[in-house]
Amino acid sequence: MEEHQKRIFLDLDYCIGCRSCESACRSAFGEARIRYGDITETTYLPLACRHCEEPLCAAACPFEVLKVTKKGLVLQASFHCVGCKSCILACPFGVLDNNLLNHVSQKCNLCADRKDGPRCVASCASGALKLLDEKEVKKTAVGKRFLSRSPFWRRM
Amino acid sequence: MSIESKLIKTTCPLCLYGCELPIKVENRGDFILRKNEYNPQSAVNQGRLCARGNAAKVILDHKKRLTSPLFNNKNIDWVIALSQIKRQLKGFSPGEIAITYDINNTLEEITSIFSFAQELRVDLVSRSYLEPEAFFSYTPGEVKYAELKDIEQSKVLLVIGDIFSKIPLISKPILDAKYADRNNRLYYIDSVKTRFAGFANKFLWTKPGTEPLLILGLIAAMGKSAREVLGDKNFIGIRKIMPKIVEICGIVEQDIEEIAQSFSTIPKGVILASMDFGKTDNPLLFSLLAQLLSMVTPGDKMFISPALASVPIGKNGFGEVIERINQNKVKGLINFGNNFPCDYPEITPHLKNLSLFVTTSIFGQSLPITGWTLPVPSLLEKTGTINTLWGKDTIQPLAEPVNGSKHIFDIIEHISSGNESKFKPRIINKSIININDIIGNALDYIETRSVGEAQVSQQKSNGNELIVLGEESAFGYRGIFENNANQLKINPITAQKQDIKSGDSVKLIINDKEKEFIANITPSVPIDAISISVDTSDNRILFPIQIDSITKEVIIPPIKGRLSKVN
Repeated sequence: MEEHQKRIFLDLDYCIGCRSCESACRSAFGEARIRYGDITETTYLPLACRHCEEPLCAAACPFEVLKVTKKGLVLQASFHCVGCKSCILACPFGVLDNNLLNHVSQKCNLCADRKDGPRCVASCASGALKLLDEKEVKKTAVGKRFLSRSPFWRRM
Repeated sequence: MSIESKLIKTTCPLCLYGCELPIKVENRGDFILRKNEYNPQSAVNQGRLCARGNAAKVILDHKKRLTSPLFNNKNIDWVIALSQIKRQLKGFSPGEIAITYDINNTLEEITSIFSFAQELRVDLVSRSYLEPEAFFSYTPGEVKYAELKDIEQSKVLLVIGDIFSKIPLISKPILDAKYADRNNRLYYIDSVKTRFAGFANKFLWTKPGTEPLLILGLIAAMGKSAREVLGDKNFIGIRKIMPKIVEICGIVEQDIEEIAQSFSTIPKGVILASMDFGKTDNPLLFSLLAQLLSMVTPGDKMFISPALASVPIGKNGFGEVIERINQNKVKGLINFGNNFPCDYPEITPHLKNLSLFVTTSIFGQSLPITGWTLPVPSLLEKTGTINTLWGKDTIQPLAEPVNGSKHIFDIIEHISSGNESKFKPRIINKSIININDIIGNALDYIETRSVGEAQVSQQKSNGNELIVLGEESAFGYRGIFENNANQLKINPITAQKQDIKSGDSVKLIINDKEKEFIANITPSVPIDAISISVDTSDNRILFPIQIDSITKEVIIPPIKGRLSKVN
């Protein structure tokens, strides 16, 4: 990841699982493109697209609907998507939802239509989601307090 | 084609945190597109919104919006509806009518409702806001209320109840305060181990319904400062029962002492209290003791609850309205609210004796009783003043009122006779309850609790009865997400005893009501208790109502129920 490429990072110390990110995404696109994972029975964490350097979703797409832009974003041309779900099966992080909306797979584009960045980050109720580049990530203590707490606490 | 667009900023009316809610409205000719905007410069929320706030605009175009008055669930013309209601009203004496209102009205509308009551000479004016947090309108005296900056600057925080579910936005100042310094302390008291427990330095997992007693224990542990406020007799009375409190709550005494020690030694702190539907069996005592705790703690400790800034109490609790209907004294009820009684289905059986029932509503759900439903705009389509936790705020309409609806002012104008009256209905904003009475009630309550505990243990051995708790979620608003209303959380030990596995279909039987759920085995609920979502009215109906003897407010406490496996 190059320095100028910002990505969504989750600060585990702040995520309260309120699903505001999902609601913001859904209110803009009709279906949530940020998913929720059950890490444990009581801990749910938002899962956003990583915009991988070598995206397997794009490699799996039979119609080249998913492409990597010059800025490193993995974007989808929804018009050409046939809803074959190959990208969903290929994603190693499971961030693409199995449910199709209008027969099209739902893919995060980091709210490319919004100059101030992703809506999920802007609306995050506790400030857990951040949009950071690599330099900023190194400076940020993302989740360190969470890890320093008892590792069993949240798993109870 | 040029697109007309404008940005409308309002205050989100869906809880009392007072977030700025900017919506960009684009007129695309055939339809109007509304987009959420996020303003990082907003003072209260810095552009952040919870799941409810993000989904707020769905109310504007909701498919269930009511667009015509209904009588017995059949459409009727406004003119006929209003004239018939006016005519029917004339047939009642003032003592036979009750007027109620909920928190979905602006303060101006509530003033207008009070004037309407004055004109009709109706004295039974009450809130139809039946959440347990309504009890925070009752106070033991001069409580110092926290502002947003007080939470951010706090060094010790005590949270009672799952406040993150009620107001997700409050998580930011709370966690910022906790992380500001490694010596800062966050304590959490609840009967269900919610996600919040993971953030607390210490989580006191009290037994279901025992929160008020644990707070009483904390008051006793405050020592000298508590003695000064409560007086010697009250203080010694509580100290004496400390071992019993510890036993009933199932808490280690050192943990209570640790919190009291932190509050005594750390100067700046805040106490935040929140109650859930179906989780608190004595909300009045809970509310009063939580506020009293903030009064007896030494130093600059302040109190906040999600319902502090609710609407005025009226004259008395809604329970009195129910009692008078049951006694056939009240025959007509006019309610100014959003979705009453459909949001509180357990109230409906008590309204069946009414000769006249009129309610305003934004949704067109079928009324299970004979009566009128009048469509009104939602708070997102109104202009006026609302209360927030940080003071009064104004709201701007995000859209024109939905077709066919009328403002409450217009409805009142049409059904009122226009006669001036010098009669003043008794309206109070807050009710002060004497400290001696509070402690006396608490000491009486502990006796009933111990009896209650004995009953529970007896039932455990006899028949598999479990305590059914209600749980609210931050994202359960009007089915924004997939409905978890059919999930029933059960502790692994209880599940093993009952031979229930995760994913099993189970039937929950409460008195004469029953409902099927899917079992979700999780250690987050206490042993011998189960918890179900109370975000939807389907589950709320399982909880029967009680009426508080002091305030006459409605209580919806935890209830006992049985589980049986469905084959």
